[in-house]
Amino acid sequence: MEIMDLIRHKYKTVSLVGMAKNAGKTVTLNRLLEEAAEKGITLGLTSIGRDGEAQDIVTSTEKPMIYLLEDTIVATTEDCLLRSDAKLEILEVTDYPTAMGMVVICRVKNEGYVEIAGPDTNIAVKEVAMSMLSHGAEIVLIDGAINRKTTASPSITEATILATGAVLSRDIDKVVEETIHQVDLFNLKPVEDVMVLGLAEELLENKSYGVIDQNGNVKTIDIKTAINSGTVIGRALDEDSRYVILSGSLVKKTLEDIMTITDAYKDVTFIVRDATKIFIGAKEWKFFEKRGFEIRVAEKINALVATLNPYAPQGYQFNPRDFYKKMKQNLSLPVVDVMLEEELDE
Amino acid sequence: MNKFITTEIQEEIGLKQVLQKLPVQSPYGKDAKENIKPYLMEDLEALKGILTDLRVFLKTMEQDSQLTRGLKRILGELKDIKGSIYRAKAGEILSEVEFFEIKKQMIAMEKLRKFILNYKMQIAYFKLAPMKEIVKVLDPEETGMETFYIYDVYSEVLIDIRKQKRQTENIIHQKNKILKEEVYKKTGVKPKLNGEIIVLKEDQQLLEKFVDYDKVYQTAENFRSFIFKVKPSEDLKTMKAQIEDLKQLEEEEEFKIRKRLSKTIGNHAEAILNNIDFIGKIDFTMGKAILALQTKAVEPQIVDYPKVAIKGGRHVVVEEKLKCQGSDYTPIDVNLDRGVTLITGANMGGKTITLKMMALLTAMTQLGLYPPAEEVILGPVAFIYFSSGDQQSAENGLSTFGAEIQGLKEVIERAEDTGLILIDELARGTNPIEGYGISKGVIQYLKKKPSLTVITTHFDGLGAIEAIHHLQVVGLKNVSLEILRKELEDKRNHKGLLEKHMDYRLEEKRGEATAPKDAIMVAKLMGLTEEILTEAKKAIGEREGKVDDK
Repeated sequence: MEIMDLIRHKYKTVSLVGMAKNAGKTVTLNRLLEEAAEKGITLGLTSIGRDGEAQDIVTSTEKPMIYLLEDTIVATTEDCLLRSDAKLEILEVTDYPTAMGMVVICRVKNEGYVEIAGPDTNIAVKEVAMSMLSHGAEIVLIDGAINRKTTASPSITEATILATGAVLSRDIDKVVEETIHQVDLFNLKPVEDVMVLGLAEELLENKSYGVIDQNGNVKTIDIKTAINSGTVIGRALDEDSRYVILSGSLVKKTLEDIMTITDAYKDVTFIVRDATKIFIGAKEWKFFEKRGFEIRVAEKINALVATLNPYAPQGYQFNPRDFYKKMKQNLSLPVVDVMLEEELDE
Repeated sequence: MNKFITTEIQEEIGLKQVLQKLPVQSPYGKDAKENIKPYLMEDLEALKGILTDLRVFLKTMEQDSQLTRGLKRILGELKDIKGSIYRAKAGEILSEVEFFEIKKQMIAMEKLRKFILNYKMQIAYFKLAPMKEIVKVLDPEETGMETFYIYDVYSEVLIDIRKQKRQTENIIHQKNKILKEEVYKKTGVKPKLNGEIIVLKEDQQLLEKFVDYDKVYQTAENFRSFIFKVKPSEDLKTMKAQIEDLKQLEEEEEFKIRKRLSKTIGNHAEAILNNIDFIGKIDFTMGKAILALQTKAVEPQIVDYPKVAIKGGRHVVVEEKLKCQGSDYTPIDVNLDRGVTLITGANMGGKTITLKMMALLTAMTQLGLYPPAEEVILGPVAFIYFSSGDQQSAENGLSTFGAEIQGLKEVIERAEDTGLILIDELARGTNPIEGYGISKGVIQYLKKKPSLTVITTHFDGLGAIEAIHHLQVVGLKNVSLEILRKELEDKRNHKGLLEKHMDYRLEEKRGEATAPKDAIMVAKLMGLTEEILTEAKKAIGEREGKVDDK
């Protein structure tokens, strides 16, 4: 199956996230580039920046070197541009700064490798994507991340591709379970109440925490991060509380701490920005659901397809056919093995 | 600037706030605004010139609203490229991103040049030098696009290298394709785009095909599969090496071209930097014009002797604050010549604001801005000094009085320089007898100096000093006491009553020695306890031998 067929004529912006390093995200990206080349689709490509961590700049670990064909539009940083092996025509120097210079939008004039590092805020990524579309890209691909450090989220794109693979666990069933869980998180219901959504977005925008009561009053909670602050949130809850807005990451410990000091959480809906902010495993998630926690998102992520990598860099691998079959049976979305080109549907 | 007016005084009189309101669109306009300098007596002609420029601009702007709209659009896009121009001038080699930015700006400069040319304004810096030549160098294919690339046409060598590179790449692509198809035909497995083929170990039949096949080689093995790769033929290997060589040649040629382009830009650096300077001035002039319209300012008349004559002057910062509170600012007339002008009058009579207004309007005029007034006649002064009489200088360990005297001492030393010296309630921080004495001494000294001095005071008797100019706040003088009493009885709340009746204007006084005694009335209007006021009147009566009945 061709992934591009799922995208073309339906979505203009698509993000790509990996469940872990080496889950096959770069392989998936290259596959998409190949498919686009075969179909004559002009792609726009960028990556959600990594907040300019020094280590990344030195080791270049997270920034993929991608081989780009002629006419591809790419948004990367000034430093990456000057180091690139492909010949690039500069179309626009944006006002978005990164640790490696401004984000620059280019057109590939002669094929070659390009190092890609893009902007790191939602607004910047959106603007850059729009700009690439206006410069002639038919589809914009954004190399994203499920990562606590980035503020930009895959929810800003119309569809998201999830890369998963053997790297998650030696136990094939565990990999399937975690992948199902991740897709379930992507499918988490967004907040429906328009008024609550408005209040939540405002709090999330300001990176703050707050409780909304049944009369629509907002009480902000003074904490910098939800990690280790479940107690503070728990204390702020009473029988009138209806919603809790959590900026930043949602981790197991927060919910545990809330549970130990109050049972008011049972009447409360917790709201996070989107599913990539949740760092709770499949088993724990079920446990919290059973205890009555209701968690929703402000922005939904539209999971389009899952790509599989049956090989783990640790040296083990799954039988590709078994892996594919299990995933296909259990996931509610299309599945593609990106390592084996041959057709697995037999 | 600091010699003309210190930062603290700029802040105190509201000049900082006024300058903040002056809008600029580009980094160059921002530079011009930040480097704003006062015009002094020796720059008289330049000051007149800059004010005339502003008049020309304002007139054109009033005739055609497209002028500011167009300027804002073009100026708002400009980035600061001075760094790159200086680098080119110094013989350094610029990067592609720098060429892109320069090209974009040169195109914008051309647009701006043509745009302002249409308006035919007689202002020297509204004539930019043409940048066509540089635009052409950076847009050799004349596409008019704002993008940049080391274009093929830059050199024959480059065309040749790139052609060879492209041809070789195409041959490689084709050969690879043929090879892969061959493998596919032979084995029934389609190699991936990178030439890899993964064969599961359990598939013995297929494995045998690959092991014996000379067009592929094994690159890796893992637990479940072997990975093979299509073997590149010898000529493919050679061609790939050729590509690498060509890339290196291309880099070298591009470097030469960048060097050449940088030199061209370096050669034009003066003209570009001059245009940048002009653009800063254009932007700043528009900002001044917008500010003038917003503050309903007027073109000042400049004279060649020290003078500050203001008709209907307004302190715009205070005016704006009052407007927010729903009240109006009373425009003030004042006419200052060399020597000392004394201002006396009621408390809350606006003396301090009037002093600040004089300082602000003088500073604005000498900075080349239009002052907010009906009419201003001004001869440049060498400096502006303002003493609020309540400045604290804790870091120097000085009290209010100490700080006042310290400032006074410094300004007295400069009094020969023809400055504007404004002192609010001179020596109020000490006892009235000595305060009076010091004030008299200062006035006697300053009246002989060429500076324009204005002093406000509540001390009696200073107005009688010979050869000084005495102004008084009209105050509550013309308000009927009957009406005031009635309103005081009617209204529980005294708020706004004082402001309603206070006349902030100044009037000439001749020969009168006593300062008006409005303090008790003002206190009453502001609602101070009656008991205290009765006691106060009694005390004054005991001292002066009669009770003031106000």
